[in-house]
Amino acid sequence: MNRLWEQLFGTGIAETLEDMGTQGLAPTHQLMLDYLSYQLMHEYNWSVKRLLKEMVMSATYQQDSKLTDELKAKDLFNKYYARGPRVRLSAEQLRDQHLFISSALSTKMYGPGVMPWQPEGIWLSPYNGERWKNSEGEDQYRRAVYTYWKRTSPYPSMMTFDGAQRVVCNARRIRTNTPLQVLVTLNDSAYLNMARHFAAWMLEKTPGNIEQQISTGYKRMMYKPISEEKKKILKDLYEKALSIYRKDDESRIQMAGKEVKEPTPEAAALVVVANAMLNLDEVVTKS
Amino acid sequence: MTRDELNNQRLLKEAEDAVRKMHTRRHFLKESAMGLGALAMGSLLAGCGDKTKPLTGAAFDPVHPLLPKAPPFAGKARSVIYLHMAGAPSQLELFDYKPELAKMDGQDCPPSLLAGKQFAFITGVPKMLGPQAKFAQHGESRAWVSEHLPHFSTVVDEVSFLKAVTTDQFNHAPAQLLLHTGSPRLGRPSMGSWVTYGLGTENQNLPGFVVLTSGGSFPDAGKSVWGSGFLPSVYQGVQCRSEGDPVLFINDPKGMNRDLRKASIEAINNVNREEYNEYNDPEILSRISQYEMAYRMQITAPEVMNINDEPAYIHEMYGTKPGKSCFANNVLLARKLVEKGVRYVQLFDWGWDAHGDGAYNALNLGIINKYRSIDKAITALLLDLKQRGLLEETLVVWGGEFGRTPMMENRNGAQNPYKGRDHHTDAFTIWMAGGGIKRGHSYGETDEIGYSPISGKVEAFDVQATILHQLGFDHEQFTYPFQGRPFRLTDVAGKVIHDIIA
Repeated sequence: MNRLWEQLFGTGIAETLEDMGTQGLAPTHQLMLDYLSYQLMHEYNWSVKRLLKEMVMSATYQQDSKLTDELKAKDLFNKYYARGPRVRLSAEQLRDQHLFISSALSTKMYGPGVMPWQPEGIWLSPYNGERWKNSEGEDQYRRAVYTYWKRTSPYPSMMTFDGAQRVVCNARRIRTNTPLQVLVTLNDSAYLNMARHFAAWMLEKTPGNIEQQISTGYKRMMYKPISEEKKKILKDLYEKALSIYRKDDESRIQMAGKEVKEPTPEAAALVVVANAMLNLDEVVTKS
Repeated sequence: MTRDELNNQRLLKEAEDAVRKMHTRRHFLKESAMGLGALAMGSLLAGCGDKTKPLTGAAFDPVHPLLPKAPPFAGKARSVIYLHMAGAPSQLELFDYKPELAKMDGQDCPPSLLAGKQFAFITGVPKMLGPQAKFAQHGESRAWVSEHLPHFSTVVDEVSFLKAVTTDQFNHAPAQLLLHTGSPRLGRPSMGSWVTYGLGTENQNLPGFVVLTSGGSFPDAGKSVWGSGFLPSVYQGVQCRSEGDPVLFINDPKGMNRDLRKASIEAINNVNREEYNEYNDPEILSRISQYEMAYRMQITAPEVMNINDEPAYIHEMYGTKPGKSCFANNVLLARKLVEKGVRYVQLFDWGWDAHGDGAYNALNLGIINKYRSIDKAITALLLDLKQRGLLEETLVVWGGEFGRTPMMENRNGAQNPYKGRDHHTDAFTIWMAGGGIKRGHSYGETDEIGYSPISGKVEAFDVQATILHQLGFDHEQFTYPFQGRPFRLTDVAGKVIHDIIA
């Protein structure tokens, strides 16, 4: 129960998931922990789904995650749940979400692991000819859970986002925030490819009007309309990119890629904007 | 009192406890760099036993996990360059001179050496194999070095040899893990992770723990030898490469120039600032600074990783091959990285597994190329660090994961086609230099055929304890709480080798 709570809220009621004994931290809301555990066992007959439903439908979970200065001063870490959770997505969630936003996600289930794009030379195993072969077609866009996992050479972008190497039982991941993560979502070909798919989606939904494209794309990411200020910032970026790609054909073709119908300057500029949109804090954060 | 009243009383007490805990926590966070913190702090601060006692030498700040920290006591070394010859080089052809072994060349191995022993490949009764090299004494320290390392033999007065290192793992992967993580099984943090966890790093525009590999393969243990184990994954080694992207994903995609990348990062940060105005969450500010840092890293890292701008005499000195991936290039890079404030640089050079089952790994053929590929570079590293005044604060370690047998390898009862030696756990040589290590010294001795230590026997834990000691840590106090107990790099063993400390 404590772990499910952590999955939703970012921190367990007892923060030390790995240790609820004398060495761990005491729960912040013992009564809640007891109550929900009791519900899970006796009322829901161990149905995780019903427990999750109770949690996500609670007023606590549905609160706004905005901080006021008062909340910041009184409860920076949201231990007392006077606001909704606000945490960065995990490595796997990030991949799945970005694939979904970009409309490239494959919902295919089951079967052996797949090999999404990974740079050359990550696997260099001695004594055998094992090679990472980038998967073709739909398999390139499967959910993170299907990514082939080799414990001595794990998928690098997931490791950068605090993924576990799976060599030791790890009850809790420690969330960090580093510049190497920025490089993944900005430059990793897998993520760039998602930006191209996303740009193609926006182009198709609202052809010809950049403001609408940005608004539609933002709504797809955030389920809410974009503010005028944010739209202007992204539009300015688009204009800047457009002026470059109108003059430079080679860059235009390289940036647009094959996912858009035609590598026009507009398409290339929209890929740059899509890449930026997929890097926004509000997109990589759950709130 | 009724049950309800009792329960309420208990809840009240717990709430008060929690408030107290929060108070100390916030107090701690205010003291730390930015006064921000993520959600992960609690258990990291709560060590075993006395929960008010801070972790020795390290407090983890998830927002600035790599800021430089002072060690518990003043260390001599500021950074480490660890040169690991993956596959295990032969001590008998390089540093451990055994004229008696030459006399036994070709004879059957005495049964006393085989009784109760298990080898990786040797079965039955192998032949003894004399040293496949001529030896001479060098420098004022009169250190024995073979003809295979003519350059290195000129700098022996800078180093301390450990001639009687032992291990209990006779396969590559577990032996490498033992040496670098303190356990032959997967899952423990590597030494570089411990060190960056404890000390942070001095240049925030570069990773703190850099790994460089050469020889065409990774070490057998794979990336686990630079993994962060149970430490936060921000402390894992970051592999940098002299071919392809120097740091993974550091280069902008094709078609995006620097100007446009700058504009796009500015746009991202401006939108994030809008978001901050709305949400007021300090984590957003931290994300903004990470994007700025990434942009700077994109400039810094390729500069540091580019060896082309080094003067010709440096290339000559190291024996580099610009544009290719090789050990010498990596050694030069290691010097450049340390100079720029990187804390721990780990090199792995694969291809030292001198079994003699093919010409490529024969002691008298293929392995000679390996000697040649490192000789100039390791020599140049010591001289170059010295001329830059960096050797005093940079600890350089060279070695393999185990040694090689004085017997010639026979596989499945038959002699191998080329001259080779099997894995040997009982004796091998590691040397250290700089970072407060004695100059021109040798510690430990093996018997007259280099089979077993007769004095100064040390093990992997002792090497680890010594490295941590030179960086300013007491290896017994430097712990991390995991699975209900404090863990340390040296597990429950390890003695600092004071004999080689200046």
